[in-house]
Parts: sequence; C-alpha cells; structure tokens
Amino acid sequence: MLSNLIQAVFLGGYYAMVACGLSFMFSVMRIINLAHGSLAILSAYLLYVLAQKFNINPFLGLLIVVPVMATLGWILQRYLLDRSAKGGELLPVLTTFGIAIVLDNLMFQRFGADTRSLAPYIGDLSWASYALPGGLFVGKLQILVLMTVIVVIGALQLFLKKTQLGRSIRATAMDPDTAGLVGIDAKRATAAATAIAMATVALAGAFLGMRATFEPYSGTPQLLAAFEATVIGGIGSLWGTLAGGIILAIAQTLGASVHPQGFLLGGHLAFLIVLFFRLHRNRDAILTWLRVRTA
Amino acid sequence: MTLLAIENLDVRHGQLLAVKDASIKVDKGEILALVGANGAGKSTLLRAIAGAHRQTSGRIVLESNDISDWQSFQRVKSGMSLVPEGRKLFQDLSVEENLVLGGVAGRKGMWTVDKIFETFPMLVKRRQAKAATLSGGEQQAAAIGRALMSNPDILMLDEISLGLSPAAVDLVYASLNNAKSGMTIVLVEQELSRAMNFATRIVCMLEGQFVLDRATRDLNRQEITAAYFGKQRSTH
Repeated sequence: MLSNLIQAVFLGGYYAMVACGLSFMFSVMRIINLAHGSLAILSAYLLYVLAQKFNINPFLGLLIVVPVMATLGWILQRYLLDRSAKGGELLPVLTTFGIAIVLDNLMFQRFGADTRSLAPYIGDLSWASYALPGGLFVGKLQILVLMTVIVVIGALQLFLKKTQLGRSIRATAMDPDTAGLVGIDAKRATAAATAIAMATVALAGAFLGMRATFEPYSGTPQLLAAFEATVIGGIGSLWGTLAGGIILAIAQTLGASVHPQGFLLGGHLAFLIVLFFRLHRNRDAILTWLRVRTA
Repeated sequence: MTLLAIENLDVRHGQLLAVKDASIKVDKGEILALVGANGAGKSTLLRAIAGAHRQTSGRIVLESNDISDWQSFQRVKSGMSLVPEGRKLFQDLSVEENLVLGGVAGRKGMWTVDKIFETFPMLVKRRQAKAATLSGGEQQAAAIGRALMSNPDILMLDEISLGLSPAAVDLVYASLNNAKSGMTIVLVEQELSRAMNFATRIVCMLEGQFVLDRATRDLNRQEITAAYFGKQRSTH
C-alpha cells in the first residue's frame, strides 16, 4: 500500500507536468487548449525523429524542441487564437479542437499507427530505480519528472511575480483593456504566455515518450488527465495543479485497488466529486453570472 | 504650442454617435476640464484619445504624429496616459506591482515608484497590499500614480471624484496639485467648483459636441450652467 501511494505521488508529478502548461494558459488567457495533448505528442515525435535519424539523445534534443515548441506557441497565439478570439470566447476553444484533429491526423499520416518510445535512447533511465529501505523501489525517471515539475512550477511562479513580462501577463489576464491603457502590448503578453506554456508542453512530451509508449492519437488521454488535474487543483493556481495531479493519481490507485479496471474510474470520480463540490459551493455566484449573461 | 489636436472626430457607441465632429487643440501646459451632463460624450472622447475606443472618423494628432490608428499601448509610449473611469487597478496585484507596471512603457522622467510614494503618502503603508483591499481614495491615488509612472506629456483623468468622499477628493486633488508641475492635463470632472478651481480652461460638452470653450478666468458659473444644460433649456 505504501509503495502504491509513493508511486501515485510520482505519477501525480507526471500529470502535473502535463497539466501545468494547460493550467498556465487557462489561468492567463481563459483558453482551454484542447490541442494540449496533441502538442505534447508532437514534441515526443520531434524528439523521436531527432534520436532515431540524427542520434541525438532526447535530453539534448530538448534544447532544440523546447524553442521550436515555444515558437510554435507564439505563432499559434498570434495568428490563430488572437484572431479567433475576436469572434467570442468560445471560438478559440473550437480552434484548438480543430488544431488537435489536424495535428493527430498529420502525425498519423507521417508516422503511421506504430507505437514509439523514447526509452531506448536514454540508456537504462526508464527502468532503473533506487532501492529504499523497507523493500520500496522508486524509479529514477519518476524522481526526475517530479523534480522537474517542481522546478518548472517554481520558476513559472517566480517569473509571473518578479519580472515585468510576468506582471504584464497577469495584468493582461485580469483586464486587457486597461493593460493597453497602462502601456502593455496585450498581444505580445499573451503570445509570450503561450510560448512559455508550449515550452512546458515540450518537457511533458519528452517525459511521456521516455516513461511509456505513444502513437499519433495518444494526445486525448493526456489532455483528459491534464484537464482533470487542473480542475481538481483549482484554476489559476500552479501549485494547486501539482496537488491536483497527485490527488488524481492517488484516486486512480485507490480505484485500481478496489477493482483491476477501476484505475481510470477512480480518477474520474475524484474529478467529478471536486467539480460538483465547487459548483455547489459557488452556486450563488454561478447563478448570478448566468443571469447576467442571459439578461 | 499645440500638444494634442483632435480633428473632426466622430466616435460611436454602437448606433449612438457619442462624439460628433469634435475638433479641439490642447496646448502644452494647459489644464483643461471637460464638463457636461452624463452621456455628453466626455468619457468616450477621452477613451478615444487614449486609444481604448476606436473613432469612426477624424484624426488625433499628438505633437506631430498622427496617432489615429495607433493602439493604446503605443500611445502610452509616445507620451499619453489615461486614468480610466472607475480607476481600473489590477485588483489581484499589489499597489507596488500596479505602479511598476505603469512604467512598462519605459519612458524616462521624474516619476519613479519612490517618487509616487512621496507624492501620495497615503499609499506608503499599503505598498504590498492588493489593490482590491484599498479604499476608494487610495485606489484613485494609486491609479493616478500608475498613470504618472509612464512619465506622460499629457495626463488624462476620467471622473476622479466619482464615488469618493469629499475628504478623499480633497486629498486626491491636493496630491494632484503637487504632481502637476508643467504637465498638460485633461480631466473630466462632474463637480463644477472643483473643475473651476483646478483647471485653466473649461470645455463644456453637450450631446457629443463642444458648446463652450474658454479660459476659466473669463467664465462664471451661470455661463457654464447654461451651456451644461443646453441653450434651448436655459430659455425656458
């Protein structure tokens, strides 16, 4: 049981790694990026190609893929999401849904249905583990993922709090109109925020490919886990997303211990319980909001 | 010397023509008060000048630049700053963060965060407090401070007394008096006596047009009141 719990915490760290970009984008731009999972898979494929064709170790490959994904995020925001945002707040979400479909099928066309993994290119890291007293084993890669996500979230928080660009991003999220009047280029701020979110997606894709296998349509389950972790942790809080990821993983582990097929169900249940609890607690605010919107 | 020139400006709010064919010149160092009834188009005019609300036709010229098509953040960079109606501080950011953001345009000048706290001493102990927790007067001071942080050539203030106690308004105007040295100011003020005390020139708007424009010293209250309510109304 203790072993399961420890594994769940590490799995939660991985979920948080996938979720932090989604959470960041949602809290800053109010966009649920439905292409989040597919973009993570794209990063994994990019690393795979670099490793297979050019013999570049995936960790070194990140030096290329992180800037590539960040640039892609910038372009995505500037030329697709900004424009679609003019058509209302639902349109950017639909746009990301479209991007997800296009990406999934392009990857299928290019790479076929074979499952791939980055594990063969990182030595024994994907299965090596440390033995702890009491007969417990902890995977080296899992430790690396958890440490990375803590560093990434900490760095993002510092960035938002201490740098002028970070403050500009937060101000734009609160009130884009006033941000402009203060002298902030709101479009630049949101493009930078998306670029940062995509840089974290590149990391998530790398770890996804290292710890397991992926195929062109693996994005959706990743998106689902990321979304659940974000909602459980509370929108707008990155440390909350880490907690959300861990809660999700523990619920899945508990689900699996009840029934072998209960793994995903346990996670979904935790998600729904938190969701309904939040809806119930904020019902007055939500009803007022609905009334204002429909009036 | 003309700092800001508005030429034949039309601004719409949907169907409503809120500012009609408005033309005006503001000289360097002038303190101009825009007065007029609710809905006369004062705030809309200020927002159009600041770039928050796009005009349908006409030109806005700042110094020698035609800024009609510039976005609001570009206008801040070229020396224009608006304190919006309702103050519009970034509520979840601290007072200091709000002020630091005000300097994002990177214009050099006398205004720094420390100088703002010197000019608005009531903000000093609220430095790290979230803007949302400030009183109305403190919020107004912080909003003015944030606008000053861009070291503007022309500062526009929209309804700074709205929703404040008379004592808080006194305090805000007192600090503004300390701050104004040499700056060009355009302010919208509902309270006539405050406008007349503070401004060197009064411009009255009625239904989107300028109906009175004169130096404060050549005006009396009756003339402004007549313009305020419109000529037809005053003959009744």
